[in-house]
Amino acid sequence: METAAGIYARIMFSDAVSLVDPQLSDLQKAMLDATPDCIKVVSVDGKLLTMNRAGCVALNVPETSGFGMPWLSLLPEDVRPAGMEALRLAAAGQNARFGGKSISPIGTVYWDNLLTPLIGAGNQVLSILCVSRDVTEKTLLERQLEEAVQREKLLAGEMRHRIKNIFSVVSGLISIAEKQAASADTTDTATDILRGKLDALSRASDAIFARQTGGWRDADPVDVALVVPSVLQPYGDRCTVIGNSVLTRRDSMTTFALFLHELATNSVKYGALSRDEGNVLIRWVASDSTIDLTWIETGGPPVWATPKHRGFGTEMVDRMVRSAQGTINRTWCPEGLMVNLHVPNIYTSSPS
Amino acid sequence: MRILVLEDDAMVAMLMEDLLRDLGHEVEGPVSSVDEALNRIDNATFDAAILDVHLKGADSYAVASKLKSKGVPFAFATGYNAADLDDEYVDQPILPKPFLRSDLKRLLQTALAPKS
Repeated sequence: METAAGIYARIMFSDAVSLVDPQLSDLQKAMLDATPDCIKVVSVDGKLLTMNRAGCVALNVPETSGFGMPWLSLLPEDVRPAGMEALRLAAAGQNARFGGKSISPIGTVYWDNLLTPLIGAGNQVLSILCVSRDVTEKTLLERQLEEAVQREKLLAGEMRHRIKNIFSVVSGLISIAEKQAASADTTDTATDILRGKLDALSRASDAIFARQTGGWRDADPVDVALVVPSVLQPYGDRCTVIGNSVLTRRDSMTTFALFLHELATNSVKYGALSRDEGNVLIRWVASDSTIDLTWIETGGPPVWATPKHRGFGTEMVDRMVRSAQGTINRTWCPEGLMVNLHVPNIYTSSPS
Repeated sequence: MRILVLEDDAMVAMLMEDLLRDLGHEVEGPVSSVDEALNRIDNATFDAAILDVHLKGADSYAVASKLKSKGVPFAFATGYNAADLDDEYVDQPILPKPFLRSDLKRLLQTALAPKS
């Protein structure tokens, strides 16, 4: 049995006091009305016999009503079953306690209700004293705390996932950098290549977090318009980016950032960015379902023909695009390379 | 052997494909969605499969269930451990992510090896 702590276990009367019609002195009444607790006396069959001022205010009962109405009918429906059980226990001579609430124009108030049977000389329960204390502040704080703990747990899980994921990505980048360094088309060391890729991803990640567009879960949306300029930031105003804001999944960004980094690296070696007067225009049109990006190089060394040799970087980009169910086309215009990328925008808010 | 690869991370898919080829195997895919994987089960022939567990917005259990019913050996590639898998698959072989060439090689020689 739950014990009502802090109040009388039972209230005994030495002789038969009529509690059906309790008579209080003016002083006693003034004392009762001064407390913010709701103090009431309820009959064994649950009728309200009397109540102090705080109680009348809380339950919206006029002080002059004469009372007599069923007490529980004044409470919101969802707390009545607990109240009924507490009344049953108190009527049987036991202490009882239940959490209640009342809804008033100023908002919901939560109550801790303590029920104490008033016992007569013949050991019979004469009536029930109920003291209700406003525990709204405490209840709301407890809820906030509970929510904060839940959020904390979720965050910890996501952090674990993210850390795992970062290791996975870095491990993949190491393998790619090794292969790329071993291929015939570069003199860069694996370390240089790896550093370049990590820097690109790190800038993309900074851009996502700095603007707080969400993005701490894989499925959270991030803005393409933040990622593109961040990856191309080292090339300053030689890269012009024009495109709309559109949300995509955070975990699609790794592929996207690597794609842009690869095109830029290639351009620095062979294309427009290898000449001081060369420029790149990057435009994209993105919707909730697709991202269409065009990379247009101008002012670089003149292009005479489509290169016969496909470098490792080109091969890698093509495969990654294919893997993302996208298509990529390269056109070798005389004034420079033009790349058209079309990828589905897999943005769904469902958890992964 | 011919191995179906279901992996939605483009980079990981590419590396897995390269490693499998280096090890002398053929690759079915890589595919990046549950639908495409189910389609390959119906329309392609392969000896075993490696499935990423967490795909974008989905998991790969529908694919696992179909492979299981057809008796095709498969392993999950996951950053987590067996305890994080669905109860039905706790005994399924796992390729831990990130994986090394030697992890993949061992998996193919043991759990996914053709029964003789």
